[in-house]
Amino acid sequence: MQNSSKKTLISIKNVGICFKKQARLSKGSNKKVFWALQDVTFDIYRNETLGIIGRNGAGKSTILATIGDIYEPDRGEVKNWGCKVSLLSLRAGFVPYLSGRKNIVLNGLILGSTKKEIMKDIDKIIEFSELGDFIDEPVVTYSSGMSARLGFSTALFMNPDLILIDEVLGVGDINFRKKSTEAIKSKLTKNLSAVLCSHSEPTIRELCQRVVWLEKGKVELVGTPDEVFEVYNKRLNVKN
Amino acid sequence: MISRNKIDIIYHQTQAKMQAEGVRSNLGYVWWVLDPLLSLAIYYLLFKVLLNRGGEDYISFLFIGLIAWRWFQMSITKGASSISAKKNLYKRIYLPKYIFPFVEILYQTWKFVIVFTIILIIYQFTGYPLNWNYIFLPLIIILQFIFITSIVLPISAIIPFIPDMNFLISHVVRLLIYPSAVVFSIDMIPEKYHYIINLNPIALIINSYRDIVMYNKTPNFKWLSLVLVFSIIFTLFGLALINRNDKKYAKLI
Repeated sequence: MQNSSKKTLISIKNVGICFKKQARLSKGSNKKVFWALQDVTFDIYRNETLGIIGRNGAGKSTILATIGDIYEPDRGEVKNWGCKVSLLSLRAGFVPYLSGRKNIVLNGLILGSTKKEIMKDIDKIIEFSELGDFIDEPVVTYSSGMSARLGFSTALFMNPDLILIDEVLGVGDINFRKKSTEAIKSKLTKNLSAVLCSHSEPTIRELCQRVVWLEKGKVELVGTPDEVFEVYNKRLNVKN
Repeated sequence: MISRNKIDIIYHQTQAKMQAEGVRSNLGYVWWVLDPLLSLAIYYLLFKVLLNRGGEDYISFLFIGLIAWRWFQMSITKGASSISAKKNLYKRIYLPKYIFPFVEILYQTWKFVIVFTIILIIYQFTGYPLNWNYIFLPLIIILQFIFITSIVLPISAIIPFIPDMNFLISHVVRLLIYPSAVVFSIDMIPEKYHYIINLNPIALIINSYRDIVMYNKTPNFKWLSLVLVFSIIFTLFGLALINRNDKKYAKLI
């Protein structure tokens, strides 16, 4: 059933993630176990942008980190059918006292690219980040918007097959926000898939073809943005 | 097992650490030499001037010991927390955790090599000329590198699970300087305690540097190779320990 338009990149099957609170001598020794995800199942296809919605603590960041290979599922499995996944995290891995230029190299390597690939694209990255002459200043002098732009631009040009975005399109000024949204949209035509966690309905509606709604670590509903938001908004209104 | 990309990451992270060190303070790299010089002054004042211990060449004896000791000390204390310190990074992007202790050890090693070279040049002019035993010097440096790695890897693997250990380590290492032939030579302590120095790997290594540089003597390779064997075993053990827990670190709260 895998035709070319719906090739599966990643299958998430009955995934459960639990966090154990470490036993501390000072607080007794009872171990607390918290299941952040329980029995989550869905697929990510090529060329799609998948939105993940849910309230705070629903497990959105946890599922992204699981797809990004940071956590190992305690139950079930995450099967990667051979795609390069890149978790877009804005300032992780920056060395504050070094220039933006050096940090592009450091971050690019961490994201799995080779030095050669990074050097090939570094001018495009700098141009996209709109940092101008600031690129040779230490990152410690950047505003949070500037370092977000640097992180986003680097991740975008590292040519992942799947990019994981955790509520970061909201950083930077309006112009950059537009530009990054556009970039993701246009990249999607070139075989980039994305998983996007967001609280913003307009962003999800604009970018995503499919939405997964998480509720207390479980999948509540999967469908088109229209289908999911109809039920989601009703539910939220009832709760309020 | 280690891909090209991981080697690149280790190399560039180490380089970045060095460059960051250079711009972080006003004197930058000068501290690399100034730092051991200051501790040399303190120990010299304490043991030679105040307690009147040590022979004529005490300052040369002390300096070479301190340089090698600092490499060991800094690697252990910084390396121990190298994985737990990078929590914010590996909670966001997956990276194999062995990268972090290696970056710290390589950074300290590079620092040592530079400072040690400067010291050796100074020694040429203060009555300890180059001799044939210098060909063994790289072997001793490699041995100390593996020895340091064998201690740092297992400790850094455990510390994220038991963060309290971090407080202990700096004290333990600070105490270890005394039975490690750094400030006391073997003939400065009573004979019944000689076994402490004779069985102490770091003392063996430090005395090997002195044998080569100051006394034109071939190091005792019988004991040193024993240190090597144990170091390799513990390095592999530490590596296995880190890799076994690789995905668990990110989940620790």
